[in-house]
Amino acid sequence: MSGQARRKGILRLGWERLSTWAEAHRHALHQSLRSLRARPLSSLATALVLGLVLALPALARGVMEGLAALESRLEAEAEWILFPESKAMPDLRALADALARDPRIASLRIRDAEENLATLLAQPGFGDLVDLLGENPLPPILILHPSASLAPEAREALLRELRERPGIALALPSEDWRGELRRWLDRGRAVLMPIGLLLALATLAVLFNTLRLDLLERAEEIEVVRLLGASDGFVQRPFLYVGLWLGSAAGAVAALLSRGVLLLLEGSLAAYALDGELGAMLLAPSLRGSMAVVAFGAALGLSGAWLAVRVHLARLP
Amino acid sequence: MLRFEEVSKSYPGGGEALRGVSFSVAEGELVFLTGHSGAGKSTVFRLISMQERATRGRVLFGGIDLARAKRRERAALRRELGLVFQDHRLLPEQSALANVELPLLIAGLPAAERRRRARAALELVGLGERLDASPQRLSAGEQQRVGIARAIVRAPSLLIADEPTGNLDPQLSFEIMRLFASLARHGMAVLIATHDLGIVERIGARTLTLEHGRLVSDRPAEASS
Repeated sequence: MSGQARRKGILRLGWERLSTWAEAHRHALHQSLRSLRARPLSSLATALVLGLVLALPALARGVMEGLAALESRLEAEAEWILFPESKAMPDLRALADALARDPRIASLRIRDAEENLATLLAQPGFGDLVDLLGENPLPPILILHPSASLAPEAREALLRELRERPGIALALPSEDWRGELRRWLDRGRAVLMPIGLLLALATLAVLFNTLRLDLLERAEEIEVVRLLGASDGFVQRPFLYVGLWLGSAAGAVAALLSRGVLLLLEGSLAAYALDGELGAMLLAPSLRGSMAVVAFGAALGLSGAWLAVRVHLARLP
Repeated sequence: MLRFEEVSKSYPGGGEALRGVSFSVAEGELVFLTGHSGAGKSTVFRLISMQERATRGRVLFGGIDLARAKRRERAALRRELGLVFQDHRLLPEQSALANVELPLLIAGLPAAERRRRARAALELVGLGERLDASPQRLSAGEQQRVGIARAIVRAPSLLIADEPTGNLDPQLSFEIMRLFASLARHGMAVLIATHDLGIVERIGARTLTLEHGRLVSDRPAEASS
C-alpha cells in the first residue's frame, strides 16, 4: 500500500470514529431532551428548586466578590488624612510644600473647609448642619497618598513621623478600617465555605434522587439496551446530559435570582455608600461571576447524574 | 460457536432449573430447544444472554467462558448475539425503525447505513410498510416481528430466540422459521426455544429436548432440512 493510500485510510478511519462518536452524542442529547420534555413541569420544578438552593451561595459569592474588588481598589489607593494644627491656609501650604519633597509621598493635595463641608452636606441627613451651627465647623485638610512601592514597615514609619511632626494635629490612615474590612471578608469566607459546601451537597442529593427516579422509571429500557450490547458509557450518556441541563438551568436560575436580589438591595444600600463607586462595586456582580455560577451548577448536575447512573449500574446483576 | 459443559443452574430456595446440561451449536447450525413450561428453556436463554451465571459447569461462546467475562467483554459479546425475547421488549416510545436501528447505533454505525439495514430487516419480516409505527400501534405478532428484525439486523454470530413465533399465525410462523433456517445456511448459529412441535417437525432441524432441567434427547437434523 502506498503512503498516500495509507494516509487516506487513516483519515477515513479517524473520520468514521469521529462520526460514530458524534452520532452517539447526538442520540444521547436527543434522548435527554425527550426525557425532559416528557415531564416538563417536573423538570422545571427541579431546576427551580435547585436554583433556589444555589441562589444563596451565589448571592453571598456576588457580595464577597464586590467586597474583594473594593478591598483591592482601596489597597492600591491608600489615602491618609492630615489635620493641621493651624487653620490658616499659608501655614497649610508651607506644610504641603515641605511634605511634597519627601520621596515616600506619591501625591498630596489640600482640601479646603468649603470643599469638606460640601462633601459632608452631600451625605444623607447632613443637609441642615449649616443652619444648625451657623458657620462651617470643618478645618481644611491635607489628603496624602503614600508611595505604592513602600513596604508596610516603611509606611508605618512614615505615619509615625507624620504624627510626631510639628504642625500636624492628627494623621488618620485609611488602613485602619481597611484592616477591619479585610477581617470581615476573611470571616465571611470562613462562614461561606461550609455553607456553600452544604448547599452544594444538597443540590447534589436532589439531582441524584431526580436522576435515580428517572433511572428506575427506565429500568426496563436500560436492561434491553444493555442486552443489545450497550456499554456503560452508552447507557449513562443520556442521563449525564439530563444532569447537565438541569444543573445548568439551576445555575442560571441562581445567577438571575442573586442578580435580582442585589438590584433590589441597590436602593437601600445607596444611602449608606460612601460614594457611588462603592455601591456599584457591591451591586454589580461580574458576568464572569454569573457564568461561574452556571458552570458550577452544570458541574454539580453532571456529578449527580454520574453518581446516580454508576450506583444504578453497579446494582444490576 | 456455543457450548454448554455440564451446566447446572439453581436458585436459592427454588430447586435446580438446569442439571448437568451439555450441548453445542456450531456455526451455520439451526437448533430447536423444546420442552414443557418450566423445563429450563428460558434459563438456557438467560445464561447465554448473560443475564445469569451458571451455578456449575461452563457456558462458552466463541471459546470464552461467559461466567469469567469482564463487564466490558460481556457488552462486546452481546454485540455478537442476536436476541429475540418472548415478550418482545421493544422500546415503547420509539418507532419500529428506531427499535431495529438501536443495535446498529450501539455498534456505532453511521446513520445512513443504520437506516438502510434496519429498513431491509423490517422488509424481510414483512413490515416494510410499518416503519414509523410505534410498538403500541402494532399487533402482538407485528411486535414479535420487529423484535426478530432487531435481532437479525446486526447479522450476529449467534441468534437465540425464546418462543419467537408464540404470537404469530401458523403460516407466518413457518415463514419466520424458514427465515431463521436461511440465516443459518448463511453461517449464523441459531438456537430457538419453542414448544411448537408442529413447526419443529416441519422444519426438521436438530432438536434438543429438556425435561425438568435435564437434556433428555438430542435429535439430529433430518436429511431434508
